[in-house]
Amino acid sequence: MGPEVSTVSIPPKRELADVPALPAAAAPDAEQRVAAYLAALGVGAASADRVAQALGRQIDPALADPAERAAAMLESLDRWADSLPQTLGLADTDGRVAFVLATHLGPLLDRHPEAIESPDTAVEMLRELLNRYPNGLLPDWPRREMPRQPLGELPSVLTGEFWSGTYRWAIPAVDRGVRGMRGDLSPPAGTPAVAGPSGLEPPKAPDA
Amino acid sequence: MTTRVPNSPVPRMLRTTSGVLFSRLGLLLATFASAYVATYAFGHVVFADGVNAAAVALWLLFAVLFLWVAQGFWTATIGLLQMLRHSPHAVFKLKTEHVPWVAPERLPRTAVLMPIYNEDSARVFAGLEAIIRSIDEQGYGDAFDHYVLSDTTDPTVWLEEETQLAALLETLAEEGRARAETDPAWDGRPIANVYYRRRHKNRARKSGNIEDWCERFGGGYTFMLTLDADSVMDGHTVVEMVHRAAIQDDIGILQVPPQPVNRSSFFARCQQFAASVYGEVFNVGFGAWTHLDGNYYGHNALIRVQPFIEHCGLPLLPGKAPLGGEILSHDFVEAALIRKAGYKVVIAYDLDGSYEECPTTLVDYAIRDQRWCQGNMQHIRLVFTRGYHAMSRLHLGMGVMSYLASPLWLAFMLLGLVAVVVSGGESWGDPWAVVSPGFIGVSLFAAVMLMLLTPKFYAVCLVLQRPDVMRSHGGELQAVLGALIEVGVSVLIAPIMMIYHTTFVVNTLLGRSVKWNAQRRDEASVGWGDAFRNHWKHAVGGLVAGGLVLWLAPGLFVWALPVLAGLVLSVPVSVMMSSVAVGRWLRRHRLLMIPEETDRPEVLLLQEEALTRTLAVAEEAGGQHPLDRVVRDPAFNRFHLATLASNGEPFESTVNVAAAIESAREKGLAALERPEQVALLSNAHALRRLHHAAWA
Repeated sequence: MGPEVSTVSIPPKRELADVPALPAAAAPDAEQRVAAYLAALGVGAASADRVAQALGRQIDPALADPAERAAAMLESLDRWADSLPQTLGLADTDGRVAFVLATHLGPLLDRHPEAIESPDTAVEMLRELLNRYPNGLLPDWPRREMPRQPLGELPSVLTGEFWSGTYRWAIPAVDRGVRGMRGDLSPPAGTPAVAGPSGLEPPKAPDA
Repeated sequence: MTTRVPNSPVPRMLRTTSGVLFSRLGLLLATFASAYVATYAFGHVVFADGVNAAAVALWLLFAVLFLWVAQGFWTATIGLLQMLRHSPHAVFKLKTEHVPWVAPERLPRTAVLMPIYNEDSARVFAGLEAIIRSIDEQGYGDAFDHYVLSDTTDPTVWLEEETQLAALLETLAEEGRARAETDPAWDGRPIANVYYRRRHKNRARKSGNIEDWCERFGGGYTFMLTLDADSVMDGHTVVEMVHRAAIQDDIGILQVPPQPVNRSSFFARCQQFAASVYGEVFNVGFGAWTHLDGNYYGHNALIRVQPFIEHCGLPLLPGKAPLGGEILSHDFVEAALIRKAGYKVVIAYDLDGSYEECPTTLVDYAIRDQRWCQGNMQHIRLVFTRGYHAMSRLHLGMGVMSYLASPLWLAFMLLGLVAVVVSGGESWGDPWAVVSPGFIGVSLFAAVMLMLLTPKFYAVCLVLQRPDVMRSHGGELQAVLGALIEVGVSVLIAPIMMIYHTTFVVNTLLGRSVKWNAQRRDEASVGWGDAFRNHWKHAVGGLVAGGLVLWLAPGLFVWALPVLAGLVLSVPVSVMMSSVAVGRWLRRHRLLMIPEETDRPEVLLLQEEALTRTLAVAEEAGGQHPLDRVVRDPAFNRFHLATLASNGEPFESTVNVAAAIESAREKGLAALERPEQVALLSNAHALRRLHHAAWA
């Protein structure tokens, strides 16, 4: 027998294109503005009104300005959504709930408008949604360190040693070789016949 | 007896087999012997008038360049011999023994990683969806998780990625639900796990992106399959790769050479045809002599995660960019590091089903090469660094040489001109008199051309030998004509690329670094204006060089004509090469065809279907600017905040968020500067405030 599959029917989420281009800020009161917001989320009209009224009851009645009141109601909705992991007995920060609510908050509130005041009523549907849509949340694996590897050394022939000490003879030798190929073995004009400072040795101390 | 690598759970790899040693020895001897003979002969030409500095330099350049050409020729020859040797009848595509597959639940956990950077989201997610479905069709979907690793800096593209992600998650979840109704064993979960992670700071570019993933998520997986934004891989190939790597626990990297596909411009079709026809003989040859010391191309490769984490953290180069600092071309270095730790790097040249998309115009190709050039030039230091395996040094050196060859060829030609002018242009005698320096020169030129063209001849013969392969390349006549067109195009664009590469190398050595721009992956043509802006210097340079050659050494003009023609005609060549109409005309006449066009692989059909869906998603969301939508659309706003919280990476910015919120409320988020947009999109509290304000 295979795993149990729930038969709870969840209406399709609303399409992104359904979102009105402009918010309903012109609505006269806060409850209507929030209802318009909920409608954009995919909540049916009746449920949207009910949810808006419920949210309105959670706001200080003294807050009269519609814009401020609507903003407070939306903050209240967010707080409610943020508390759902706790309701489900999950860690506060369980991001799976946030992912699921991003696309299914509308259908959830449409089905359970009373959940604003009694979150337990939406638990079954929310659990079903979580089982069905567990995607998106980045897994939490133990962090590993990826150490930067050492660059490694160059062979001494390519480092400063090449240009001093044992190999100091190399430059005049190459120079002699090139001039030899040109058939010109006389010392180059302007260069002392006896090797002087080439400018490649380390600088000497001023008092040396 | 095996030895243990310190800090490594696997035995150090066995030494190479006798067959491989034979291949390597053969390659080494043949390359050096042919280069020795040619260089010896060339000495008779350049030193005919005595030894001078220009002649010595010319002779040395010839030696280096001939070595470079000869190794390519002999690699292809080894490829040819391998393919002939392993054939039961005549020639066939080399296949290794099939590894028996284990049950899906026993397959090691593998993460499919798609690093992206300001890419076309619809194409990225279509490719990813095709891979997911193709793996799922093999019945191994549960063994894989898929990660989109975004380094995107453009806020609009960032939100487009999230739009596509939301749609893909929804689709996969719905399909999982539908499957549960028909398959009692399926519990209704989505058919694949897809994760999205965007870095706020894209430290060390793509290599840093992968490193970051390794540190955060690498602990959960045995293997990772690294992709590019335009990669598509067949599910069968992917599952086969995991099986191969699973049964040999010392495989560190398993690379399947990608075949360019899906493009229609003339330039892209030439590349696709060349990779399809010539790529096989080179890949088989290269794979044969590199054996377990292969290379990593940066994508379409399976990597064992644990040793990668332990041994492949890229070193920091001394000094400043472009030659110092972070390593840009990470792939070769990572291959060298994992090889140094005792793991195999294998090129699975017998596997197909590995695809990528190539630049569609000469200009885009050059832009990509500019980035690669800087990265490869950084490797000069590593070629000589102690501790790397000799074969890794060879790979690094070959990477350097693939760009350095251009300035060397240019220097060779200029010095040749100088040598002729200095010698009066007549001392080489009659070029057709046997054993005269002129005759030797002509013979050497012919030898070089032969070494460059013979591998293509091998490859065409191998195609013609196999009726099915021949048909999939358009037919007998079309395959040959296609090769001739490709050779003609190569001759025309080689001088342009030589000048481009020379400029890139010189700029890099002068300390001018390149910006990290997103690669253009669409089929936009190059107009005459753009072509003129990009190539007028090439054309003028070609005209001036032609005039100089005619004036100073008219006898050389004919020899210089192929190079001069490419430069002088660079503007029309660039326009013609970028033309999709020309590419389609060629396709209608079954020219420059590749098997992926004649018999479309299943995964590419899946990609087309997925692209239809992702484009519909983009169009559906296109009514509103993404930056307006994330503020106004309650669901999208929540989805964005959910991905932000899931990522959990702290965001640091100097932007005054309160002031930015006020500006966004007044003018809209889309009207702000990019840093302000990014700051608000990265700040959950600020974005919620903005969202509430939009509705209140």
